[in-house]
Amino acid sequence: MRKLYTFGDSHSFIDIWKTMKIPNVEIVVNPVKESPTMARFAAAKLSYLNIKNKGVEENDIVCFCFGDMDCRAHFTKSNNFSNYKHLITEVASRYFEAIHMNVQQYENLTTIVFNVVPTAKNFTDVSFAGTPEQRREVVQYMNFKLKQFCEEYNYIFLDVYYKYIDETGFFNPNLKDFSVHIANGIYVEEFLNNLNL
Amino acid sequence: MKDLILKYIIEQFGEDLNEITYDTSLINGGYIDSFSMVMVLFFLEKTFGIKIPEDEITPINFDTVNKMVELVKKHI
Repeated sequence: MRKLYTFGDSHSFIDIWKTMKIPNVEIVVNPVKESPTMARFAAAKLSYLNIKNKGVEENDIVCFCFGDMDCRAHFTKSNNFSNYKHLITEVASRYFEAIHMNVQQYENLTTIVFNVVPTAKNFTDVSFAGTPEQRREVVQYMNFKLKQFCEEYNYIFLDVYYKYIDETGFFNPNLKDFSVHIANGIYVEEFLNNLNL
Repeated sequence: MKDLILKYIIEQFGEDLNEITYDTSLINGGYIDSFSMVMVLFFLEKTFGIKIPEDEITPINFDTVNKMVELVKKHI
């Protein structure tokens, strides 16, 4: 049985990973607890997260889940928003360098990068900056860059963004939890099952 | 170098042009958080054409403009 390790912010250890059924794959959630922003991992790389120290072995699957906090609370700050495309490109580029430094320690890993989930319009428990529309714009641009870099590095982009939005383009309330996370993992499970891991 | 870094910090994080000096504690003073520290890192690396090692990306090294200058000088 192969193991699929998730690494990242709170999106890497929500309940969907624990209840998901993927034939011949065991899911191991592995949160990074200290300030889990994409920017932090992108800057500090292996000294921040080294999957060699987390039990990952040859032929395993690794899934990196970073970016929500960056998009929700940082790129949308007034001093960053005017320049967000440049900043996201810079951070995402270094994020993929950090991922590459991790996975190149192995001969054969399947590498997945999770999209940033849609912007929730209503939540009260986590920090944010900017308007909902600004946050939506930033998330969409981040996912555009993540997709681009996945193609460049030959990683799998776990892209379920459009499955989780409603007609207004925000996180579908029926598919999210009280906060900013996916509550119903049906589309993530479907995506991963289609990969025939 | 010092003035260039200070100008960037003030433009990005300062509200009052006179409130930040070379020795203002930027992290403890609440001007920059861990995310903003990374933005400053990118600025320093690009502006001065240096690569700051991962183990030197610490809040202590980024806490004041003077400390950033020391850090940059080490790697030029």
